[in-house]
Amino acid sequence: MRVLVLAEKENVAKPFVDAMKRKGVKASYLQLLKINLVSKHKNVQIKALEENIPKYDAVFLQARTDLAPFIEPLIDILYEQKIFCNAKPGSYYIAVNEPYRFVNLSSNNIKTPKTLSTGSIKNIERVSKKISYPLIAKSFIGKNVQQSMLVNNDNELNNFVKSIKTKVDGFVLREFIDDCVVSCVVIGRKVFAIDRRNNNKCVLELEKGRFYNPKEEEKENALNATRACGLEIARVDLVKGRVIAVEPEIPIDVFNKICSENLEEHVANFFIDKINEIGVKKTVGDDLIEIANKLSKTMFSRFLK
Amino acid sequence: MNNKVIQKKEKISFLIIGSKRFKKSTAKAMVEEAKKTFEHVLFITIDKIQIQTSDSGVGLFYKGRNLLSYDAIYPRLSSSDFLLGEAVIKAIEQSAAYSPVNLKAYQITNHKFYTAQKLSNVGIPGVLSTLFISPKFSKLAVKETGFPFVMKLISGFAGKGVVLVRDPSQMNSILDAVHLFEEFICTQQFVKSKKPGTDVRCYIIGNYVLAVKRISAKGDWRSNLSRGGSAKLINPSQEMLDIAQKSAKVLGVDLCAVDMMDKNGKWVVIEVNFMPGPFMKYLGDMVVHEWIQFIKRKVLLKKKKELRKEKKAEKKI
Repeated sequence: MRVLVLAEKENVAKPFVDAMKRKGVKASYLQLLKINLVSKHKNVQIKALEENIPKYDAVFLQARTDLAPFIEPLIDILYEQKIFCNAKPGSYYIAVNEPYRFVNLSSNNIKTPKTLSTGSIKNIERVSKKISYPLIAKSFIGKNVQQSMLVNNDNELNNFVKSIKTKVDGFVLREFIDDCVVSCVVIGRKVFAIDRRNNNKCVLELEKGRFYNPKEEEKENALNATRACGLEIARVDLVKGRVIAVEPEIPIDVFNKICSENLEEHVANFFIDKINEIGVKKTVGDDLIEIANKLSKTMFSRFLK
Repeated sequence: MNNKVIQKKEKISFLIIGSKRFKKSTAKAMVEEAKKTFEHVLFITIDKIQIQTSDSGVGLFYKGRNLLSYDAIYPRLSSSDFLLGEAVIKAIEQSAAYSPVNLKAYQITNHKFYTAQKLSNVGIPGVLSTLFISPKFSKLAVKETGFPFVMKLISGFAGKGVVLVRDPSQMNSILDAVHLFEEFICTQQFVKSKKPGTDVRCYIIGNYVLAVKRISAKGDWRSNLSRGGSAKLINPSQEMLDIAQKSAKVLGVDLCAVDMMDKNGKWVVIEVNFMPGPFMKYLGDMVVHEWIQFIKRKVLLKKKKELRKEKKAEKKI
């Protein structure tokens, strides 16, 4: 059983590689930056200087969503070559684009706060009539958030509009649900959660949150949101059970500390179960060993020696 | 008598969603042609649309009008529209409206490497292409393509962001500049055409293919018409037809344009265009007319099918 852990930095990959090795999986790390994708006639390959990707049964990918233009062709190749990956084709395009993510979640009947997106600053006033205050207003350049603000009334909305001096590509106005965020990590069917609340006050930092046992409905929403976004492992943020964010990267250190868990062990178990379900791939090396074993039991054994 | 003038208008509502960078002449020609055929026609640019998601589902609105109630919607979007483009096309896909394009094709065709990858996967001849994140680790890519090679910004269009790299020193300075702007790049083997500066664009209109030969402006090795140059209609060979139709089928689109060039006597795909211009300067309204007529036929067919289904259901009751 072989798993390749693809990440930008070794310290991100190491806990997963170690956990898989402890369970007898041949796991190794490859720096994402070292990869070159090559498309020749009828032959699409993932190449790196010292690794051969197709020999793996599965790939565990931990990468930033803004690498989507590179990740998408990569996971498409893995999908075509039937190598299991925790992110399916299309998942990074969903994760990196907020308006698209909300349309995708809503199309899959997943509860989200009411969200309105538009491309023109002139539209904002009209759009805001369809949603009640308080709301979160965001402006975007490309797919990146340029500015984000909590808006309580028309005046504050005007201030938000006035504060935009550069050319932006779009705006999102989202219903603000007044409650603390529950951050979840989904690994297969398992959900681990942190309530971002401290001394009855909501906290911005995940590190200041506390262990939380999610309700059944919250669990289902987190699980369904993960699947709807084409992921098997994800971080999902909820407010009053409604999904506000889905990301493919999981912050294991904070979750391990607050939830007293070993998420890397859960990831390793998830991959072992998945590979067993799909079936372990044989490599040319495996075939040669098998042939050698068979021959060793025959008259050719002395030639092999 | 000109049959385009006396044709009967169909009870079809048709919406064209234009890119933020739409070409006025193309939009005008499309609307004029559509108005001859359809009862209700609306053209709006994507930035004017309101995308709404709530417990009641997804909606697209313009001045209070529900855009997803149109019979046919043709989103003509480029890579500069990605933020809202993906959301809008996804919403259209969830609706009952007919659309000649789809989300997957929008994502793939606006990515030079992804296009090459998807086409070569099914054996469509293309140009050797590579993609990498870090210029530090681009050695492998260059080993594959060799010098000279063509470097393209993955989301560039109309020949923009395309550079011919002749040697390693030129490559390093370009890679540094590209990395500075955090752009993803794809490298492609430089294909020396039998007739440099000439390529063929095949407009896919359902099963129909309209082939156009493009000749670049003097001194430019790219043949994009937006950079000057000329075009004329040609009779496509069977090889061209097969490649163009297979490419559109892989992407699942009814309307697109497949650009190809001659490599050692064989045609190879250079790129697939999600939002092709209709070359009106050289072809007049021919392409636009074919697009509109095709969309009409598709919607009528869809309506017929739905009616048949309804009647069947009524009979069962």
